[in-house]
Amino acid sequence: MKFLKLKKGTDQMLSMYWFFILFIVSAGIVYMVGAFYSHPYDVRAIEANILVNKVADCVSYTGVLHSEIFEERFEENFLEECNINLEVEQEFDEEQYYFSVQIFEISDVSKDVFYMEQGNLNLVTSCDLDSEDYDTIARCVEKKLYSTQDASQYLVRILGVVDKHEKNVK
Amino acid sequence: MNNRGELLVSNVVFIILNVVFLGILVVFITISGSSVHAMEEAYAKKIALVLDSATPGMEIFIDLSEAMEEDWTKEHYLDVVRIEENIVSVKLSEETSYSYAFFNDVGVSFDVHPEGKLYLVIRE
Repeated sequence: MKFLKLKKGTDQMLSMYWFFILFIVSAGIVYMVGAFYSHPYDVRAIEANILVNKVADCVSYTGVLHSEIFEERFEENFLEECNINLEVEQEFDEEQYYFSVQIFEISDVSKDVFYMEQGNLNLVTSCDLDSEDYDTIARCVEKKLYSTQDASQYLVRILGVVDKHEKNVK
Repeated sequence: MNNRGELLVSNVVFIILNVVFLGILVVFITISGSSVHAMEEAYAKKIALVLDSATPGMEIFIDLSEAMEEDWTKEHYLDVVRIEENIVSVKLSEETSYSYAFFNDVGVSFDVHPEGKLYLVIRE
């Protein structure tokens, strides 16, 4: 009888400890789930890739440079010519995009024959930092491609940067 | 004899409490994953990225059925997606909505069908 009473008391104490552990485990799970789903989806790298591809398709299509690429009119109206709109939501004070295009002749890649940039130049400094250490810096994507025009060959270097960290990073 | 019966009842109660506790946890995890805000953000960004990649002449269907509810009226599902200038807005509830900009400067015609499909036509 005494043994049974002791066993009952021990069971109750074990139940208390069991529920206490269960509570701690569930609190941990709730915290992890909350932390996971409260983080926004970061699509900036994908967006920067698409931006660079779009600029590349405009500058050089099927391996041939745009026929008016070296004309001043094309550079001045680049956004309209390439159907790019860098405006963003009203909650942003500054521009959130940047891209630059550099074209070099294959024979001399030390000096560019064409340079054009659009957007927020301040975002370029983010490209020197390691994005894994700092979530809030802008995402940079750089691509190089070869292109031709008439008998000349060119190297095209395109840099695309997307910030928008308020909408992609908690 | 009586003590054996009491032990059995307490064990059953113990197991039931455990099951209820874990069930509540599973329900919480499921609800968190399908929260309105998370879906609004996911769809807005998905549509924006699709529009960024699109070229004139494309016709695109995006399945929104997971986000839409069966008892919605026509006004509800017509308000789910708004594309004004270069900003996509997704609204799945009266109180919340999520907007995301896209940089592709093309004309977009859109329509939301009752079965939950977003229909996009890309123009010049």
